[in-house]
Amino acid sequence: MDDKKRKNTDRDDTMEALQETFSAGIPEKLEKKLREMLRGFRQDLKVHPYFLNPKKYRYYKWRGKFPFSRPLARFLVLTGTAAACLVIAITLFFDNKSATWADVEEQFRAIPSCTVSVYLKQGFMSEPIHAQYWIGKGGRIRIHKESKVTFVKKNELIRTFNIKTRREEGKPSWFAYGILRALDRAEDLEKTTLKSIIEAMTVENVIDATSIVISDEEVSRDLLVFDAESYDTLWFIRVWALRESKLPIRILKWHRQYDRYEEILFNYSKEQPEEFFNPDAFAEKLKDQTLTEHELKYLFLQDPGGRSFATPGS
Amino acid sequence: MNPDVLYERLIKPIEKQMVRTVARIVRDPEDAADVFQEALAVIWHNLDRIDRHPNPHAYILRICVTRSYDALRKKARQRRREIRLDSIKTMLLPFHSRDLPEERDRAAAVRGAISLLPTNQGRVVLLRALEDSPYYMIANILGCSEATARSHFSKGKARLAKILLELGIS
Repeated sequence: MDDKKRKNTDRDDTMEALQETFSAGIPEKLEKKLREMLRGFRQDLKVHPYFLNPKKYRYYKWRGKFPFSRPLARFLVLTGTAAACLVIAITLFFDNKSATWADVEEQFRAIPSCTVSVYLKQGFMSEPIHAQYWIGKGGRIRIHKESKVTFVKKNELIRTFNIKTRREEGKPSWFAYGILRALDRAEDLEKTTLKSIIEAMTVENVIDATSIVISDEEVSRDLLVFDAESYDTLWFIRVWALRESKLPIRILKWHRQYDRYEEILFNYSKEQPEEFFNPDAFAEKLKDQTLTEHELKYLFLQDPGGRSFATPGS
Repeated sequence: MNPDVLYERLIKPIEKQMVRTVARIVRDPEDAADVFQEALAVIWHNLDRIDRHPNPHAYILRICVTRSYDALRKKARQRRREIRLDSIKTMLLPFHSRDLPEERDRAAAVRGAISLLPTNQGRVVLLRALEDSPYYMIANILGCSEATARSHFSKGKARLAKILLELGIS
């Protein structure tokens, strides 16, 4: 049906009423007023930002649409942002709290191997003594203390060698005994625990550890610090661990009465090969006079940086 | 870009239509001036969009019709509120059957009846009644299809007829 035909059908009473209502002429005064407004609009167009600076006008239009320019929206956006920041801060706060001593112990148990360096001081004025041991898979440990190299497997002393005399010895170093004593109390002989490392040598029966707050915010982002407790309350034990990996990196032990001091440092760089923990392979090389004492001490040790010579402590 | 050239191209050809649309729908001189001012403000704010629009004249007329129709409905709402406050009796009666001095005036009654229509039906009826505009033009102005414009008009007119019949106008 075309428009003309449709127009005819529209011509009924309702249409007539509509036509009557809207066909009345416009008051001259009103028409004049509206045309005056149009003239004003035309004049105003000359200062419209669309003509003055189209680039700025785009910004102005965008700004108008941006919710931040509206008071209510601005209030809502600011309140929302503040609430979101608060939620994030609370989440981070609780997240920081969630890294417990148990997490650190668990993470330490999960790693296959590590190197432990120990610095011992018997008194305030005494020089530190350095000892070192490597923990490998299957409860194998290689302990270095001065000229003695001791091999341990599942808490059993296998063999001890003296690299100065180039002979096998019946007695291990007192340091190795300390480690064995701590391992004796451990339930799992396959894996050295963090607790047994702390208890080695001097401390007995570490109960638990609580995290302490580090005042330096920058440092606390990366580090966790725990203070451990022992039955002997004169021992001060502090453990530093990485926040992300939850692995311990440093343990400090200090006896307040006897002024005994131990500092334990951890290195997780590279798992050592089988022969490094093998006392028989070591015994074979011991008689080789071409090898120096240093070479014997770090025999079969693979440098994590891929160097041909082994770096002490790596 | 020259503002005069733009005005000549966008506004000048439909100046008369803009004035007539607003003045006829709103009728009250003061209200009409306010509505026209509002419509010009909308045009001012959307000048770049109108300039880029494929049918700028239809866009401008739509602004005028929408603003006028909104004013008509606002006025009707105000009246209904005044009446409710004026007499509790009117609350028991349907709006269009009450006996008021304004509704004795046929034109005012028709305006009041249109304000009761749904927005799209009301706008189509107004456009059809104002200029006897063809459907394709109404469709252009309202940004819908011709069939939709026809449907809105048909439904709007039927509802309007019912209201006017109840008022005893037709």
